[in-house]
Amino acid sequence: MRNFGPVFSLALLVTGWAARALALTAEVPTRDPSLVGQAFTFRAVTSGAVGVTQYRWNFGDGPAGDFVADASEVQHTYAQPGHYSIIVTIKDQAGFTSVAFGHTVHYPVKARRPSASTDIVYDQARHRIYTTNEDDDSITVIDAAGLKKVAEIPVYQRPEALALTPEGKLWVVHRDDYAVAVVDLDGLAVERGFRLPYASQPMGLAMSPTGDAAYITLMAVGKLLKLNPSTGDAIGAVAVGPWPRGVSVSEDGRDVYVTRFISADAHGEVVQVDGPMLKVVKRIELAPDTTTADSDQGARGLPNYLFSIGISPDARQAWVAGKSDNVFRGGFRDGLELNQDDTVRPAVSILDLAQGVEQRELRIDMDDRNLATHLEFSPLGDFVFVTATGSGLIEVHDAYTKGFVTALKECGIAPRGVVLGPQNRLFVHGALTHNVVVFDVTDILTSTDQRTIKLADIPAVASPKLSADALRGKQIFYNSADGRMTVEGYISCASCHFEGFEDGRVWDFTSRGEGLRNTVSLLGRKGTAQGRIHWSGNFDEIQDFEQEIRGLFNGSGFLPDAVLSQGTRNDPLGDHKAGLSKELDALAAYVETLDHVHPSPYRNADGSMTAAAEAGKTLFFKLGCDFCHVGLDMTDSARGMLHDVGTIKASSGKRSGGALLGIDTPTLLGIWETAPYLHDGSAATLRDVLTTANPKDEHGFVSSLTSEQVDQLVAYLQQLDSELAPRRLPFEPPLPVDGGGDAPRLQSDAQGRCTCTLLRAHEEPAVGTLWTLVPLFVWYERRRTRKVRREGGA
Amino acid sequence: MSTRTLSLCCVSLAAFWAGCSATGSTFDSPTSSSGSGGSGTSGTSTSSGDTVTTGSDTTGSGSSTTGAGGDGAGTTTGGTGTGGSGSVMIGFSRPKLILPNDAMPATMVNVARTDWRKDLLSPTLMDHHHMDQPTVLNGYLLLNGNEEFFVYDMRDPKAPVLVSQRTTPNRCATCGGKGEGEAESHMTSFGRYGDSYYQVTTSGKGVTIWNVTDLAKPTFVKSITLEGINYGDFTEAVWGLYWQGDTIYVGATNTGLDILDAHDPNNVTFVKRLPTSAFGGVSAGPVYAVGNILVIMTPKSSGGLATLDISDPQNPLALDALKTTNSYIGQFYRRYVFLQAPVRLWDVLSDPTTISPTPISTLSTAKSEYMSFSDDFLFLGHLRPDAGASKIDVSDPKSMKIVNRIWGRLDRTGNDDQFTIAVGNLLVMCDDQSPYYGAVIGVHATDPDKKPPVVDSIIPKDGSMGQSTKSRVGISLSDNIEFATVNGASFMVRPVGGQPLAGKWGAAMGVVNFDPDEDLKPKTTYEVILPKGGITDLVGNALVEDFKATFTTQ
Repeated sequence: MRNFGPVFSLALLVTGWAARALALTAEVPTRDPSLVGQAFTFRAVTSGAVGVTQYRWNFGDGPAGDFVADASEVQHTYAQPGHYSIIVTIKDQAGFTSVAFGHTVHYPVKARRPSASTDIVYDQARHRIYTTNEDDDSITVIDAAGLKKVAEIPVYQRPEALALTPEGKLWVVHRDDYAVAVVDLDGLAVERGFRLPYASQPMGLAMSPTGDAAYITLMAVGKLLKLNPSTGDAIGAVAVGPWPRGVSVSEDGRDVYVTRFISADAHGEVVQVDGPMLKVVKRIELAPDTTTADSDQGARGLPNYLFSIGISPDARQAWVAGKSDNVFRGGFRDGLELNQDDTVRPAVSILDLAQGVEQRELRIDMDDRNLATHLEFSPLGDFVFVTATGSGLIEVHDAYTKGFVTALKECGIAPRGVVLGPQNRLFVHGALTHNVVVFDVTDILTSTDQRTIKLADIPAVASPKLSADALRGKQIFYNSADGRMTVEGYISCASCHFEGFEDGRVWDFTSRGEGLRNTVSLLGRKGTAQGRIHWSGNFDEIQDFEQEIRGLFNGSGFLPDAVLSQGTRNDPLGDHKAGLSKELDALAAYVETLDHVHPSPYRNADGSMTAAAEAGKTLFFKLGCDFCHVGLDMTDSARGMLHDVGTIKASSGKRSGGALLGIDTPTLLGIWETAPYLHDGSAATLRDVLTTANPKDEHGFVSSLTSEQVDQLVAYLQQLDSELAPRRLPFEPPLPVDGGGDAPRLQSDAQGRCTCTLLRAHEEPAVGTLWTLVPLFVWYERRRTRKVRREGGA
Repeated sequence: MSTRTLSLCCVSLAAFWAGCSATGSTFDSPTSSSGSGGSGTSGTSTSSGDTVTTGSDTTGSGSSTTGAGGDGAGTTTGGTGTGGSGSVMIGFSRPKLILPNDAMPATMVNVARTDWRKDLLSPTLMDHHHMDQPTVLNGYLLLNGNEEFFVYDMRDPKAPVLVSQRTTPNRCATCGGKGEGEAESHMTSFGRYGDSYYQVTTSGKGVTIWNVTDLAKPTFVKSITLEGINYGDFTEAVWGLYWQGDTIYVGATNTGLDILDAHDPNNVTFVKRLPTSAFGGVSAGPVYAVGNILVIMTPKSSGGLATLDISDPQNPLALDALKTTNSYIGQFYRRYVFLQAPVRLWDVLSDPTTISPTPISTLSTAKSEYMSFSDDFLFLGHLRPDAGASKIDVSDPKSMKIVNRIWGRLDRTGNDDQFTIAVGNLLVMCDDQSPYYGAVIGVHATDPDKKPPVVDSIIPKDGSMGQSTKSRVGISLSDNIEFATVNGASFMVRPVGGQPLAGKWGAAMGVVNFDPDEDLKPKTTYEVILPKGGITDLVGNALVEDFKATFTTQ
């Protein structure tokens, strides 16, 4: 038997393995974290030792030391932050034992915590959680201790973000009503409200940690608004560029970071604004990845859909949640087919805040996930909770290595914001299951255990406004954690049509029998109410997406193979698929609810069309644009027409594998926000559509117009929307009785104070008077000489 | 459809296998009580005759037609199988089927990518099924998938015959984050109790135990639900399984290490769960027990390894751990942990208490996911569109070299054919990439495999002192082992000069363990004997040298 005796061996094992200690036990009772560069004392407590006790400390940041007698207490200094695994091995005369534990080393955290826009907040003073219910125009109040719903408070339309003010009020920002509701948290009711600029689509809200400013991103108008958080008075606004969505404020209130939701083709972008000066300081570029080899472990891609940005409590880094669109792949572009795992993947970008740059090499690709939308740092800044909305889960990442730690699953469908409440309880907002899921993450934060401990699943909404069918359809629309939708979890409809909108990208669908295709917004289309689907009009019902689900997403599909193969059902224009799958029918029911486009902010502040637009409207009809862009929806798609307006190129590809003889007329409603234009995105602006993309006047006799007239026509096009009268909010004066054709529109001024004006209702597009018919006839005759294809049936 | 009669050697008979006749001459009285305790299986399956006619190979129903008690087990020659107390002479045991090991034309090896078809021998097996790590037992090829398992007779590799297929009871084909009932067989392991064989497989909610004594008719024994396992991908999932004997170790990803009591293979029970912090904070993927050491490697989306002392099998103690950059999966071979990509390896058995933070060497390769080993070659599976594997010479751990390339089925879209096992000079490749194309058999070498396996490591180490009385003996070899050749004659543990101990055996790939039925005696020296001619690789190459080691208990 080996005798360690008085001569200490350097290791437990020289020629053989030592036996277990017979009586020796040990523990390390305290597990506090320590700071980078500071000596920390570790202490092991033993009992039952026989003879001399020796300790060997392996701190996990270098070679393990030797055995040292009586070294039960040691100091160690870590040079780098991290989650270290410490193993202390203790041996006595009889044998050995060991204790393994995790130890956190972190940077000092700032006194105040940075803020960020979110849809779920923790109210420490009242031990409550608040969430927005965006489809249900309410917020839910949850008891963070009792884990029960306390109240559901009606607010305005489409609440997107909320935040606590220094006075302990809750601000709720509303996208559709472009208004803020101020909630009294003691009375649990909206105590007042105020409007934001007309049609501005306020999305993000962040209070400065210094308490002197509230920042709101106005997505439709490209501005960051700064308000007095006590009064709601506007302090100022700064133009930050298109699509500002997520906003985060540094702990000192100095730096405000805004994410550009939809990227330009060149790169993704985070805009750094000097908060006090309200000036853009820097545009931080998130470069496209053009070098990663496409595989099931990663792919090329352009950062896009930058939902949010989170600043670490140590103020050293910020993480940006988004996706990566592989717009470099495709039969026309590089000869490689789009496939389920190389097309769109979630990406989280890491910013070095001291340098103000992205650390490109650290960008996180989330394997088998869909749509990273939200980030929450742990209190020490050592872990990050990343919401994978399409996957229905939260990934936990090491904030230092960026590596995956574990995943919190079963968070409902389309989880969004998460927040850490008391006792290391993590609250996750399941947006489409209308629930708040609570996890105990103590063991994860202390590196003790990586398993998931789910404490509660709290219903948040009493009676959802969406019909059961539409809600189910919306869940399917977002959910990629369903093998019927996609095989490895990367793609759902929402990957490119989040909120029913689009992603600003042109995809190469050559492998789908098509060609370059500009993602379309589904808003206002009401499913198939405007006619056939896709630029080539190759689908005639929403249920035809069974084809894309199987063909591109590699899902097993919602229809049984036998049903799909019956008759001509496998042809999208063949036998109908409606009524055969409750999931596909639900999907159709959801997109049919998308019955309006966002109001155009190009209109006058009172919602009326500008004079230029009115002039453009006249030109529109004079040119006969309404021959194809006809009716309330401004499209003749329902007639089953395809038109060649001179925009079809080789890259336009085919139509369901056959010849592409024309393009389905797109609606013009809402096109103010859907650049780029044309089926292949080849026109960057509406003016380009009319001019550079229309050299032979095949897309309207635009060359007959002066430059000023083109501007007027563009102004008209930019102001086409669903003509919805704004809702009267409770803080606004009552409406006069509708006076026959004149609908009142309620407005606020730039300072957010409500104004009330009367707006002349937009006229229906006039059908030709004689003088408009003349040029129309000329133009139409020219069109007839070109390829115009009438589809049978329709 | 054919019925073949197979002659097998028995004690003192002329060798059918190389070295067989040496048995019993090198060492004194290799005896054992077979059918060792606690298995409780109905009917001991040891054949009593010295010649066994294998059953009909008819698909699905193949059953042994002769052989007393023959339910298709690997045949042990000369044993009595009474399971009683009497010590009896036993001989080496041999698998039921003899796998092919023939010369292959040079035109089939290391072909150009455009000639990928030339290195493939078989048609596609089980098309449209998701396949993970293939294994071999008793001469059968086991294709292991998502809670579905297929057994093939591949004696004619050009026309393998499906012998049986089974699905885990209560399989939920739509559960899990991807809605496809993900429960990938990244690892499977076997236990041998007398002449009964058991398999532990990954299931959606934990693990499943099967009686695979007759692979033509494997039977479900039990499913064990494990906390936190729920049809996960690389969390809430089982990625590692090692059946050591009385204990089964389960690498349960983020939920840690689960320990199961397999004393009674018909009633395996959960003992305890160790969180990841108990072994260095690494996620638990593949696990290998080697005697009193447990090696844990990480699953996808993490990277690292850990060594634990399992002298007390149900109370592991951390020895060392290492976190590395991400590795798709880890594998254990000889004494090394391999992670990838790039391919890196660490020696974890020479001193499991002190693992170098830097790998012995690193080899950059095309992107890869899964690994298998055979005779100092690593078969590294690659991603689509480059389906198949690289054959990498790892005989010098300091300098790994890519030797050749075995292409998978390149005509299939999204196919990767990258889960492999070498069977002689053939390579079985399985596809786990949607839309899933089952398996195919290719060729990786022209010459038949005549290389005998060698013992790389033994735990407890030779000459070691102060070992636990609960010690198990683990041996790591240079090739995957035909578990049907592991028995009391080929892997013997006994007090020096005493009677061989009764016990059971466990195996996964090239690591086999002996677990004595009773605790060892204190302060006693035991010898471990692996006679030449006993244990063989998958195609019948036996040890050509006697292996012997000793250790002494505390």
